[in-house]
Amino acid sequence: VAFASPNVAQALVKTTHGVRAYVLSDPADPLVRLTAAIPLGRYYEQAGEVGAAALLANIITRTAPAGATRPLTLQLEELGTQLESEELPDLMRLSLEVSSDRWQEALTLLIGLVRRASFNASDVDAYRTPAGFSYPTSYIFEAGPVPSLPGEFRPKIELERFIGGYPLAPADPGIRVSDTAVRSLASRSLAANLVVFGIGGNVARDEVAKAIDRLTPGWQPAPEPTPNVPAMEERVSAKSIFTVDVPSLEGWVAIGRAIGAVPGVERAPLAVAAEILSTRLNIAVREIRGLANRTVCLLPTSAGGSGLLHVRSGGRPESVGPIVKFSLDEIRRIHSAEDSIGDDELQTAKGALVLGLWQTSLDGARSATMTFAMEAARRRDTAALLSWPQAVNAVTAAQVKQMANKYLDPDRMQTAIVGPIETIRRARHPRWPVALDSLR
Amino acid sequence: VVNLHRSLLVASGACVIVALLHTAVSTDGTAIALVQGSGGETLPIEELVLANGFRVLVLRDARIPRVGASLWYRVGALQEGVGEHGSTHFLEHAIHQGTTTVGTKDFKAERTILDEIDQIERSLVALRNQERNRLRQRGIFLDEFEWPAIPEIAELQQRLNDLEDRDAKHRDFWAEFLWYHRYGGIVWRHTDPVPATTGFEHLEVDMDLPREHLEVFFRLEADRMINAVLRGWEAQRFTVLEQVLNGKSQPDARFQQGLDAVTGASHPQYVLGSSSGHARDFAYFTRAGMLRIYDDYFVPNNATLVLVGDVTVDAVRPLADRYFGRVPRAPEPPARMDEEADPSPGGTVRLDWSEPLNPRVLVRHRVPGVGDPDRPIVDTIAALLRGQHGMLSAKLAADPQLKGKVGGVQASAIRSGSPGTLNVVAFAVHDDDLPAVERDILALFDDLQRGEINQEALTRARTRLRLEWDQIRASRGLLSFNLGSFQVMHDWKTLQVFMDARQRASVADIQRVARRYFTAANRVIATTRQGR
Repeated sequence: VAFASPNVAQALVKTTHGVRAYVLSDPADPLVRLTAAIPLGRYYEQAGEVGAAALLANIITRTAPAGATRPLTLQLEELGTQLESEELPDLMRLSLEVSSDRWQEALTLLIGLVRRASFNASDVDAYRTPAGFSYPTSYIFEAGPVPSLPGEFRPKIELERFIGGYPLAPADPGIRVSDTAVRSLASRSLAANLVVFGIGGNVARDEVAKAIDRLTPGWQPAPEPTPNVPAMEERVSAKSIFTVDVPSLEGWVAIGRAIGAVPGVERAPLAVAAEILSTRLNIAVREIRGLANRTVCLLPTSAGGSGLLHVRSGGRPESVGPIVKFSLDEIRRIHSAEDSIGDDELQTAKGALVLGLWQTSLDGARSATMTFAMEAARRRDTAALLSWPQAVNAVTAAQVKQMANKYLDPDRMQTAIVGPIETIRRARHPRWPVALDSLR
Repeated sequence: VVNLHRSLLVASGACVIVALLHTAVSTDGTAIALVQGSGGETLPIEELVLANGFRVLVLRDARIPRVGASLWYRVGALQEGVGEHGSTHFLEHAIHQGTTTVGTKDFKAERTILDEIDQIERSLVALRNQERNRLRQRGIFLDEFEWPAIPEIAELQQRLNDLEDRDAKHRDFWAEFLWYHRYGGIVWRHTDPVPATTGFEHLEVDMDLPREHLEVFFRLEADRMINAVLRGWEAQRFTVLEQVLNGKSQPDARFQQGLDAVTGASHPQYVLGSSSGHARDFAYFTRAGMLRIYDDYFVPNNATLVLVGDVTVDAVRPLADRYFGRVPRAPEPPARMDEEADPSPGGTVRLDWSEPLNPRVLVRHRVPGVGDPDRPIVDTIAALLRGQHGMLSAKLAADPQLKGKVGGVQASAIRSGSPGTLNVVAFAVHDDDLPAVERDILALFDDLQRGEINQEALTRARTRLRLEWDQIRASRGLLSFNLGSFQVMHDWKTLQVFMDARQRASVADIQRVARRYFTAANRVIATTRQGR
């Protein structure tokens, strides 16, 4: 294997004001990518702050920093770029990618966005509702609360609401969030020692360090926040199918369960198990039967592993019943003691996770600094990231079975379907006729 | 039935180096195109053309030990005739079901079954056609699930299903993709389980791999070029149909299809609005028809392999010779990809969409294809108009009648080798504001024709276009994709020329292009409304 991770220790810059940044210089790159990783998300909300993280993220991505003379949108157009953002339950990521001669302006803007000491009431009001707080309500991958945010898969959100509600699911749309809650959460998350930067591309490390120093005097630190990782108690005990009627759509499916924090030693074997299940799902649902374009098993996105573990798929109304049936059959198979994990599927899953996904997460200065910053902001260090290949390559078939037995229990899986429910109920696939109601 | 004939032939592995215009010659005689951009940057792209016409472009970027590989065939929806819409897209899926050597446990046993499947399928399609004609319902119910079934059709369908079930016992499902997975292959452009895309002018397979596993790409793709076996037909047919129906289930996609239908008369690019295909036609595809496309277009002299990453032309040459050099040159593909599109209706066409949607006005003009010197300027104009501070937003904001009544704007130019379109959209808050929005959009085109260009907006547009090009040349996948797409649209050597021309476009260029193309006779205006 020719690939090696960039040296993370050498990349780390600690500035005078306590700000951490991972900086990798690549003089051959015409670009610079700048990332701010913030410990911000609903897992960091405290009592009385429900919805504050989404609202705060909305303000950060839509308003120029205090004292700015031009709107944020104009500043971005002048840089020729867009603000990328990603909102996870325990992390918010903001990134800008610019041509290399514009990195100083981009850094000034990025630090201005996350270094906010106060929020006036009108700012909070302006972004409160409805635009400030919503999740998909009509299309399947509707844009997120602000145009720059990616959309969510609606059956996943519906399943989270059905199984556990907040904080497994986002807070309900339209919820009132107080100014105090926003300010309080901001003071705990937007702190000099907590926001981690990643800057990679055609930049000099020393110049970046100086620029950060110049832009951060007086930025206050805060105590390390502890994520309020939910216990993920499922409020639905009996296996069931939950439906949401949206007549204009095809049928979209999420089958899953809530899981709590995953112990460190289980992360790699669970990832391998999910990868193997995804392959089996694709073969059963798509390759053999042509029921759906894509069927995959996805693990929760939080660093600790807590959240919704689910299978997602979708197809024409006639296909929904069989998709659910054959997906559950595959979950049942991998969970079963009689099933064994073949060496081929084990090695394939490992290759996909290490030679594929892991390598590309560290693919060059721009990607690597973004990945380092995200890891450092929510795990506090990058050790788990760097030892991931060894952890994955050490996974045995027996460990995969243990994980399947522990986490992939078909009897604890609930199903959410979004689509034209009456049509789905009536429809029968000509070759794989499975009635939805027969699965209840 | 199974296409074996090409695999039995072995050609000379001779490799020919083609001299390029404006090239420097390296010490080993390989042609290197030193393509220079306006910023002084160069892209040292090396081109090999094998004796059989197979073209390889190599751009070495050794920063990361991975290689972005994409294989381009110049075949797409443009070659499809009436009744064949979606056939190229479907073929893309069908050729990813394994070959005579991968994806099978016993190909001899399969072959008998596949021959039988072919016979049943011909009978089934003939009967379907006959029955559709008897019912006189063509063009009304497009989804075959809605067609009345007769016992003879049901029986043939059942026999087909049974044969496919028998064949499945000999198959190793999804084998090629899993090879890629195992060796670290990543499809960077999408998450579909087929590492390929089909457009109007191309079918391409792309994969980003660790450099030590690049040979896997050569092994699998050369095999796919000569030995593809069209297995699992019904499952794949419904998977592709699923993509088509999913598009049709989205209200915005339905509007887009309606818009494309009124843009041109019968050219598939306009009629369908998408290269995915037409639901109706999927019931009539046959293996024999697919193999005709496969035989005509999946030949070395119609293919370009683009490699960007940690690889040298010296390392590539033996792999190219070993895997692709053995495939014989074929007759040149049919000229259907080059046929002139049917003429579009003259004069301004208006579409008033009746299905409730967010209120908007869309103004579309037809623009020339890549290769025309005016085409890069269209990109500049799209960049000039779009954005919250672009010229379109500014025009609408300056209208006191529309204060607070505009929801957003878009401007985009469809890039293809055949003619494309420039589309400008403005969303209104209320239906009642649409006439004012339309008036302002048309006035904006008048401004462009008079050369009234906001200089600050033009500066920002140039910055955006420059960043876009920087992002392309900094990314293995994007660069590989753009080189390949320019090769099928026009010529890979014009990629950087095109990108430079967009950035250099002057006010006079914009004015000239606006006067030539943004005319009433070349225009479609579409409106959507919330309340009906």
